[in-house]
Amino acid sequence: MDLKEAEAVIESVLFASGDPVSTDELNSILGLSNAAEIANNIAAKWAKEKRGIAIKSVDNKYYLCSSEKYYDYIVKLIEPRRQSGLSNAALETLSVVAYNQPVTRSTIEFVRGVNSDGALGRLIEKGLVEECGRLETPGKPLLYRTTDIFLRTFGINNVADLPNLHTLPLQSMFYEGREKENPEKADE
Amino acid sequence: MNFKLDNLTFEGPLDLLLQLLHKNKVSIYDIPIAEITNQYIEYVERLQEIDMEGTGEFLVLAAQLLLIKSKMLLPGSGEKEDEGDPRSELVDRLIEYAKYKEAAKFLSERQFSDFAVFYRAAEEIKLPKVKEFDGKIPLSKLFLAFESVMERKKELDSLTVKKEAFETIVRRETVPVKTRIYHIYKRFAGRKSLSFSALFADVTSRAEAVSTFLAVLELMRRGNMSVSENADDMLLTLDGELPPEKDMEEFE
Repeated sequence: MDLKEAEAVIESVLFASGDPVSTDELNSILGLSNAAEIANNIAAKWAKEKRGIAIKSVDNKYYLCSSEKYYDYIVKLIEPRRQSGLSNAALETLSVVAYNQPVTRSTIEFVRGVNSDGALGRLIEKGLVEECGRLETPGKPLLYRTTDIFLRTFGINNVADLPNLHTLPLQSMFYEGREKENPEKADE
Repeated sequence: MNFKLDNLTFEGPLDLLLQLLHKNKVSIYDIPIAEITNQYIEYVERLQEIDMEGTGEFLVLAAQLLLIKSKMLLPGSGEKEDEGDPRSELVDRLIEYAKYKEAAKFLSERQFSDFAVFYRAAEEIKLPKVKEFDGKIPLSKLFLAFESVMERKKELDSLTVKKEAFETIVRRETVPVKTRIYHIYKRFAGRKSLSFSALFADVTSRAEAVSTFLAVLELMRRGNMSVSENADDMLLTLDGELPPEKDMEEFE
């Protein structure tokens, strides 16, 4: 199979699937070992050519999507999306899950110091977080993790690509002894 | 759910405490516990006036703050030298929470990364479920599988109490009324009448007795049998022919 054919196979398979297709699956379909490389090449080529469809990948899974450049045209066909963001509670809960997964409800609550059932429920509803088994401790609490939808929604390739929690700048959240006043940031 | 008071909006007790530190422009590493505790408790009290529900968690932290405050008022109680700063546990927790708040901010900034992108909804594709047998499973596997099934059966058998063990205690048998009707006709064997007790003379089980009695009642209902008194027994008289087979199906 030459490269051109391999590219065509990947395109057609991704189109047919709709769901993300993993690198392993692509490799086994093609009988090759470098499907990821080929898929990345197609993605780069299409982006360069400013094509209307794009190949995206999260966590070694590939899928087809429309290029964001043409959103304005797409909404002439369909109803525009509502830009409804997540609440602070949901974002905090999501970050605790993202950095500690798999994680129990009680861990989330301990870190946030507040009941997080509602926030967790909304995240599950939006498909950003899912259940993933139970912890083998008394009571067998449910465990939660983030989903592929979480990764693609936030434009993160992999959970490992999240910024290191311990080197995150704690901005003006509080004052360290040597720091001078930081007047902004009262809105949070 | 968030809480609003004055111009502060906070997600919970830890958040309120962080924001009080910020408002007072004090370092998290050197919290003036007495002052901050007073402010915190004042907020919580006002919060309770507005909404009693959901303030339980605030009270837990209030208690923790008061405990720290009291510990700090007792310098060098000397119990343990390495006890350290009574604030340190709370400070660690606050810093950890602050980090997740930062991470939440990071996520918040990115939450519309995907906003203008459309994905194709997956079509329902039937994936092949059954793999064809490729002849690669060795025959020995079948024997092993069979053996393990038999093994399990043996185990199960050893755990189960044998049915026979109960038979002397509880015997459950079914005696169709129909068979008793035939039996009754056989017992009469051309005779016109027979005493009630004689009919039950050869009954061997409770089920058979019940069934025989029901058979008698049924025959009487059909008018095939009548009863008359005879000394201390009852005399049964058979009047009719044996009911046809199809009439007795309900007595199977």
